[in-house]
Amino acid sequence: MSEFTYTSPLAGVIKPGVYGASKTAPGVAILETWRSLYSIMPRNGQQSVVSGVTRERYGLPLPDIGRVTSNAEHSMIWSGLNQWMLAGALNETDINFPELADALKDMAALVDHSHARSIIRLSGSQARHTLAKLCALDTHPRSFSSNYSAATRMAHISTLIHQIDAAPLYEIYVPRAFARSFFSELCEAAAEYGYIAEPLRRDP
Amino acid sequence: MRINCPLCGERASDEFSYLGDATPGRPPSGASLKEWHDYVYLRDNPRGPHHEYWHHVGGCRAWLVIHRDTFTHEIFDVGLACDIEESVG
Repeated sequence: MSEFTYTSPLAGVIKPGVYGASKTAPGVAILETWRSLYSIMPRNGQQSVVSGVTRERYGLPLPDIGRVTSNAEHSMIWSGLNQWMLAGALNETDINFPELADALKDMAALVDHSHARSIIRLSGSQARHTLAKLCALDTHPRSFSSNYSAATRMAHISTLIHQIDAAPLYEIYVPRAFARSFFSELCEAAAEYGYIAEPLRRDP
Repeated sequence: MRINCPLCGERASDEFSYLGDATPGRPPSGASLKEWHDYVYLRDNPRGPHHEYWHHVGGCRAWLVIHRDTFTHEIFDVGLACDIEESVG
């Protein structure tokens, strides 16, 4: 869709591999990924209309505060006051921005963030303990689980956390200019459990 | 200190920025220079209950009005500034 190619801010930062304390049974996997990403901010009084449009187009109504609606490919992530993030399929450019912009014309402000955020997938048996070192959010399953989102600070960086699976699997959205700082902090936190690191496999 | 954000729940205060006194009301357009001067420059410095603007900059980015005690740091109430402004208007 875009004539610009996404370049990972983590390119050359780390080689794919297994690092940290346990190289035989690493407890954490840190995978860089990419998605088309659009913020949707409904205009005053337009939230339910916008929700109807996104439900019709993607099967994804705007979720409640701190929640995510998702299907096999896309997610609609609550990301702040009157703001949602529509995330496309993993490593695919599959959302037609002009069409969506046209469908939401005069109803919502739509901004392309596809090249503005770095997305890190965090999984593994020790993923939650790794996250606990970085933020004060209670990620215990009794208060945070699949299809939950939270905007919070980690390593002094504003981040958006989306829990995809109870396994657990998280995706963490970081402003791309801070991706290196965040990545190094995350690796530091995961080191005691051992971690697999995998930078973006290909530029989408 | 923790602040109970109406959207995000209880969060550490370092996620928030203080953005000023929430008590001054904007004067009407025909107000005198003295009224505008008061509104723009003059602030009370109360020791006790106070209404303040805070911004949840490290979270949901909502502007908040927090009613708190500047002496004890006790927080009585936290509301979304947009709701409060709308109820005033």
